[in-house]
Amino acid sequence: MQILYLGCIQAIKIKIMAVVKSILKDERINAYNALVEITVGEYLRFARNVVDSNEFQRKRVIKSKIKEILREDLLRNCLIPSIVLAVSNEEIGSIKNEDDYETSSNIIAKSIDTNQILIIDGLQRTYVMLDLEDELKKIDDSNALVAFRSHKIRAEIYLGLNRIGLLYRMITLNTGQTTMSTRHLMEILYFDYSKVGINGIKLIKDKDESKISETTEEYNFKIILDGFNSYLEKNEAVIDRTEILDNIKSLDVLKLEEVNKDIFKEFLLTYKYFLDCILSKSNHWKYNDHENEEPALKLNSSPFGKTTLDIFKKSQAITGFGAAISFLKDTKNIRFTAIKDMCDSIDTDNDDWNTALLSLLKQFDIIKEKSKKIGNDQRFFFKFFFRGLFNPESDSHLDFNKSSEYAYNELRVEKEYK
Amino acid sequence: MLIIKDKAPSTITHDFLLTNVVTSNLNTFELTSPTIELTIPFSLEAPVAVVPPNYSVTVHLFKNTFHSQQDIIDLRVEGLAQRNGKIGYFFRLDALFENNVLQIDQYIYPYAYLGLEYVFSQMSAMQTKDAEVSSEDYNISHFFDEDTVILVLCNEYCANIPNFNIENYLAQLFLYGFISFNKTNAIESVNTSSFIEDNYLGLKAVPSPTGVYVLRISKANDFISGETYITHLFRNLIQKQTDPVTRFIMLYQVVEIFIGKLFHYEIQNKVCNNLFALDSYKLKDIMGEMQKQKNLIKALFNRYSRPTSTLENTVKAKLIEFFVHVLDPDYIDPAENAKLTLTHLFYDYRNKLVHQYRLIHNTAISQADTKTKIDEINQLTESLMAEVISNFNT
Repeated sequence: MQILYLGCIQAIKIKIMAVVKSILKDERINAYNALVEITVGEYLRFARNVVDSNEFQRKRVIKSKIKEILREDLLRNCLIPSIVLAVSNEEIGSIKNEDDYETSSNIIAKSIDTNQILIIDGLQRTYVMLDLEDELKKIDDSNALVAFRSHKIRAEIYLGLNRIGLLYRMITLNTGQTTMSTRHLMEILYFDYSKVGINGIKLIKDKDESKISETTEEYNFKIILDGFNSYLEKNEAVIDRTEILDNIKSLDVLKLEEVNKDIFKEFLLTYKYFLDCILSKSNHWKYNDHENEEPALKLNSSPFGKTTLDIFKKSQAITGFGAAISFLKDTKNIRFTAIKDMCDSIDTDNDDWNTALLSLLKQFDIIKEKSKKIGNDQRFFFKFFFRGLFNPESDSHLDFNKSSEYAYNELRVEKEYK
Repeated sequence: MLIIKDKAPSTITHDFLLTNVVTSNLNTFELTSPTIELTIPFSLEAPVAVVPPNYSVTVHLFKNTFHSQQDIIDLRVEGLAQRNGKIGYFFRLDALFENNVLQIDQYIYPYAYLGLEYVFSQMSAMQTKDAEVSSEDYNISHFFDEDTVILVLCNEYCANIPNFNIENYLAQLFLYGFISFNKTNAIESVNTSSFIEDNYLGLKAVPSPTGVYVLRISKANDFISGETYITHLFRNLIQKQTDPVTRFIMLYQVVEIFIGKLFHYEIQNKVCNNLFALDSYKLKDIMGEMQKQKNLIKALFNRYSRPTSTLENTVKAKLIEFFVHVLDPDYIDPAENAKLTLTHLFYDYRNKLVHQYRLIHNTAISQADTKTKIDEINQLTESLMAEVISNFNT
């Protein structure tokens, strides 16, 4: 048994005391699970921080009546099921075995201190406890507040080396009343990348004030997650809500992934490499309506994108890429490194990138005009565009313009455009 | 209002009503429930514009297989002087919540805004799908079929049309592919004939960079306004999958209604209003003519409600094709067939189905082909009946 003194929360230095009761190893995902006992007061000190700072945590969804009953029960010192938390930290590799309480405790303490802890299961219970604490503070009932804060609860903390492993475990455990989608679990799991970035690349959240620069160094966090989700789901459509079947499909992908690789990172770095290549080959192309003399390429509505990056940094392109790469991995055993190797050889007819990109925009112009669901059709287009571009057996292999024509033809037939 | 169910096996439901509209760069409608702590936000993806006070709208649900997601249809009524007859707009519901799909300017914005306010505020839910409780983000397609098109009608503009009732316009809207539906009356059968497709695409003959196209309809004719079967047909029946022969009989009821009404109308005009110019022989001739259904159908198709020539010719060609296919001995001479009128062919087809149903079960002919041909005739008859209703003019 090990007593933890957890670090500072916000500006106030408070020692949080939790008791590690047991540590077990999950061999499947190469992670440890520590069971701790902690008082409600201590739990809420860092839980409030987690809830407040992570916009991707689940929303409140609790029946008013249930909330009222749970509130009353908590005041009577009821026992609630363990809260499940998770930590992803490089230092987890240093845990020696199931008896290494000291290292585990330090990692947990550090994660809470740096706000790198995630609430996997028990968020709605946490909301009720937070509300109750606020309410007791508001009515200034110090006796009830002290009693409530001193109640003990259990928490299980997953200490995972690898996020894909944690994601796998989160999905397999996620059998509650309001199941979470893979997409949402990923938002929670990869949240810290939006703070620290990957190899100098910034991932910017919608709520961040800063504008995403038109470079290959900055991306919208949610869009990259959409793309990665498409990779896992093998589907370019944006699936933003729970379907158990989708999660099961994701599990099939996850269980085949190498546990010790960060495929999210590989995904992003590969896409960045593709963008850098296209950007350089197209000589930082920009759309200019006045220079477009070719009547067949005149657009009827505003262009899908006005620069190479504007086009390829959109969610439609990145989800299409995710779905295509997943397909190529499954059917042709083509991995991220192979995709990267191919990028340098991408070309287009007569090296005429202006015509190639204008033709692509014209195809998007027609999609907008004819589509019954524009966003979905654009994603479908990009899926086939990348399949055509990176499939060595395709006639359009490494040919930008031919891939674009191939994608449009596939779309036209599938969606019955007239 | 939107309704969200608890996960099965619970049967508890939660009503969500519009409780707040947050305005920033977009207007966001927030729905909350008294029975569950959850807020559902929906942002109207268009630059915020002024919504004039003292205007209200009514929203109706439609589908249209030819309607593209970016299309906005500006609905106007012929002969209505104010604002060139504008009474409302059709929008794809999901497009209102998607970035960069619709081009909603300051004039269209109030319709979109009030339309959504109407959908979210109604005390009986308009949603067409069941949704379950989830802590994750909801979007409109969790509550409505993805291809739902809303017609947002301005009540104040519609009030300029005496006794305005959308029910009297369903046949006209059907001719452009718009079919009314709701959760309990789902669309099972869609008319995909090129006639209706051409009508809809005709609205888009001149490309519009803003995606806004004008659909002009006529004022409903008092002669058939309030005819409950016609309303029922376009509100509830035409959407349903039915046996092909039953479907034709169902559609033919429109002709029955018209010839019943035309009988009285013709008697009024030819006899009552002209009484002193008649003698007993002339009166007998008129009455004799009026007794023949075929004559009344002829009057309907030729005088009172002439179908467009494209439709007339297509219906005639398909009917002749059918008679030839079933080896009807009355249709063995192509030269004679070509001379036959729509009235003759249509009335004969009806009679053959009713009185000589056995004709289509001749073992020497392909039953599958027969069914296909009847289905094609039915699709054209749907359009023909909609035209008869829409074009009727006394």
